[in-house]
Amino acid sequence: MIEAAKGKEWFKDIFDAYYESVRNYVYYLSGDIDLSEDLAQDVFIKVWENRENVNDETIKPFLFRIGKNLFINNYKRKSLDIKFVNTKTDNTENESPEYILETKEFDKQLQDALSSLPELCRTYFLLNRIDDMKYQDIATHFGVSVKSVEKQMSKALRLLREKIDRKV
Amino acid sequence: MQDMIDQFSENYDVPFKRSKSEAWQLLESKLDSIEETKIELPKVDATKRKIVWLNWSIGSVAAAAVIAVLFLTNILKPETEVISEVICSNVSNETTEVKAVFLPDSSCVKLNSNSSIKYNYNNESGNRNVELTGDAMFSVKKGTQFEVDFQGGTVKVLGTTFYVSAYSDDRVQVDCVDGVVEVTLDGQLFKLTKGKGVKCFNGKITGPYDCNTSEINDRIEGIFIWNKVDVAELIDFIGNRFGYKIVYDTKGLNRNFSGKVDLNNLEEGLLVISTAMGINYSIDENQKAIYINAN
Repeated sequence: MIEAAKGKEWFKDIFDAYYESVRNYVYYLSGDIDLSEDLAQDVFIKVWENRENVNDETIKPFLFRIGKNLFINNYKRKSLDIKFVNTKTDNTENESPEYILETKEFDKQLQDALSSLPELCRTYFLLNRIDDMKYQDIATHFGVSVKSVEKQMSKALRLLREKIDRKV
Repeated sequence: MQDMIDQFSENYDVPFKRSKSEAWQLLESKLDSIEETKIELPKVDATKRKIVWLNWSIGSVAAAAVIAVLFLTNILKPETEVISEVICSNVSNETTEVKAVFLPDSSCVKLNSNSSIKYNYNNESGNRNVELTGDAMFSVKKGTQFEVDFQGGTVKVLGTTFYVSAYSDDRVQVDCVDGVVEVTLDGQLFKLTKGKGVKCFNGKITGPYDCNTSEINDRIEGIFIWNKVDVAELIDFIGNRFGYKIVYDTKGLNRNFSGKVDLNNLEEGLLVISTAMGINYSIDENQKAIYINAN
């Protein structure tokens, strides 16, 4: 069976399927959205230039690897200031001022705590919570065991609880 | 606690600046540039070296002396060729739809109808320059100086978002959406911060004035909101936007217009203004002219 040549249509499908994941992943590493969007472009350019050698079945981990390598090889590590848009806190019409203040305070503490997590458990945690990747998927993508992912997730939750100033 | 962490983190989203479709457009333009570069540019080695093999039968000392002489006389020196200014092709938009143009530095120019740009990049100084005729919104990537030249003025930024309307030097307008913008209009220098604008119409400068940044963004969708603007200025703008000359059958309108006008369609836009201002108009497609007559 002759495999169809990988043209623009194939590339657009790959882009549509994985662009946001790649951009998000680089953002979890860097905390810099401009850099993340630019590096995501470079990742796909590399894929296009090497398209004949790309295996469709393992393309997502391949994309993540390129993204990570580009980030590590070309950009200095700096302290992270990762920020997220909270898609839920905007709807506070019927809430009390005290609730709104508490919510905003917790939101800030959580986002600061996320920035301070070690890279690996931060990345796994965000891929699971924001990109909805299952533990098995994360394990496959990074070539580790599910147990390894579970350990990092537990570590992330423990560190977040410790860092967030909340009275139980 | 964990419930709170889960509840909040599951509703987080990455604060992206470039939409997926914009990212695709940018990627496509980069891939096209890569393909063009492969076809058009000759392969130039950054450094060329000529190695001269000598006949060692005349003795290594003599050979070394010869080589030394050759270096001193610049024959055996590495040659370095630098590709100087790279100029992108002109881009124009003669449709009624907005055209997004991505520059090699990832800056984005949203060209309104009947508008064009020419982009120059100097790879020695790193400075970026765009020549604009028409109406456009600029989102400039942070970096070296980015300059926009148009009839009647110049804008200089390092990285920000701003709007320029410059179909001709009779009417020029610059509004700052974000960051800081340095504008030279009719020889005068203005520094605009977010939500400030300046314009020059028929030699008269107005501003800096306050402007609403969401209204500026709406212009790219063809929605314009004006506040006490001379209706002659408005009609002049519409003529330029659609590529029609304006002919007045009446002397001086002396009226100001305030309101919202959808300029995605010429006739609909003119109808709103003419009804509000009590003026008549007719369009001559052959002459590409709009005739204005005040009641």
